[in-house]
Amino acid sequence: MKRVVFGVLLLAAASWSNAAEPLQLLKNITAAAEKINYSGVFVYQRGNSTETSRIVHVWENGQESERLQVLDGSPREVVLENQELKCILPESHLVVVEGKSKKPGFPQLSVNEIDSLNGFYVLKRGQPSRVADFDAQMYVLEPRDKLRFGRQFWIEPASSLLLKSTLLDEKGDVRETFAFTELKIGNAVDRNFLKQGVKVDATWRVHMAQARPASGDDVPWKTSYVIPGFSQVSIMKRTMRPNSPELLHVLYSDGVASVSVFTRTINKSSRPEKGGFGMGGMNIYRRVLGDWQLVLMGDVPASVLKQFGDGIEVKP
Amino acid sequence: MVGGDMSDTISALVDDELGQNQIVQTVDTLLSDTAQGMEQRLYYSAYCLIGDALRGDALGQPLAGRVALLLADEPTLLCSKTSRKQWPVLALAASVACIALILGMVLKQEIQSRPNLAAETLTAGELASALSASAVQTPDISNDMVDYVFAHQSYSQAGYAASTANQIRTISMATGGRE
Repeated sequence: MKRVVFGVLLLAAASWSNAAEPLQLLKNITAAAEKINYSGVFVYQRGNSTETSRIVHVWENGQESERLQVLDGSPREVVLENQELKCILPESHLVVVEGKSKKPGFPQLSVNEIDSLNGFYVLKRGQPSRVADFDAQMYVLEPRDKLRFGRQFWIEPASSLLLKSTLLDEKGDVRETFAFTELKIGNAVDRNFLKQGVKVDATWRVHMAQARPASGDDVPWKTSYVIPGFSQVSIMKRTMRPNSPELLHVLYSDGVASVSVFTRTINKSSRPEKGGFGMGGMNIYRRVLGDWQLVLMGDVPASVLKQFGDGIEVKP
Repeated sequence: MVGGDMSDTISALVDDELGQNQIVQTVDTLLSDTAQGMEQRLYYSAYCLIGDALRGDALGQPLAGRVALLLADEPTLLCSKTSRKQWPVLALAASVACIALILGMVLKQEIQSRPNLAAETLTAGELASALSASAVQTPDISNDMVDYVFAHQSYSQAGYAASTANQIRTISMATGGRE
């Protein structure tokens, strides 16, 4: 959904129909982030960890250019240029690259899925507020069950740009926060900041996270339990590293949260891994299924992710 | 999963309470490319962090200070929640033991290949080379996970909207850790 061009930027919150409110909120946020020029500094907090980053986004000639630089600790960068997204990790001497044009794209939700979205979340309008010196309208996307996380959004009303968001776990505790502390909206952005700052040489490893569409026949397993409201939205094959075997990436979504199931063959050079851990708003669960290593991750409660993972069985 | 035995072993190691054979066995496990080795390194890393925090800038030994500075520039290991039950006994002794242990781990191969090399004569560059060589032996699990998170985030709508900001988890994980 994120990559879909929705065309209309400034749909006012008041004009949303009840049936499509959550989806329209996400569409507006996505469209604004894509087609508006802005630059600023934001804070990302998960658990006790806080990092500050600078971001510049330019929409020009129908293309996005964007650069994010972490200002704390190692000077990591994420650069979007010519539809290619690069994560530059100096500590690991690693660059992870994905060409946006080659990825299948997050599918647009069908009418039934929109209904499903409304069946599992309720959108509530919060109080007007102020974030990074901008007026902000708060919205709460509240789950109707304990199987998914809630979200709070603070949106700049004129542009629909997301100023702040929080991810709330099944207990209502904040798991993750993203918030601008400084922001300029409009053309007055410093385009010099779009240039990659970290120099990468031949000693760095490059992981090309290329994906190509795959089909259900490529999936060696079936699920006996799917999280209610979630449906399979994409099947891809990925080669993450040179000379490494392809891994299967199956994506599930309820329209808001996503769960990825990665499947790779266990061989002599790859050790089976089991168990789960959390990382901010994301939980990760690993298990072994026959000759396959399964890695599941997503913005859902750990117990739900485990139940989903444990319900995966080898196809007969 | 991290268990009590593992924390006890690491605690005993840094407190110098293990026998010679147990020390060799534990250090070998720490250096090994196994899940247990990784988990033990997580514990070990946590104890070092605790020691660092309690010690502040109290490093008095030039060599230890140099090692600490170099370590600060090394990739951070993924850290799990730390057990608090032995915090009081760690303190300064633990941090010094950690430095000694790190030095021992890092220099193990270096000294084997250069018998005449004395730790006290190492330059910062030599230590950095040794640390780098040691890092190559560590499992690549974190980078595997970075790949997975990167791929997931490319299709996730975590609420950050911007393409690059959607990868904030990936780059945060690259130096951060588990919770």
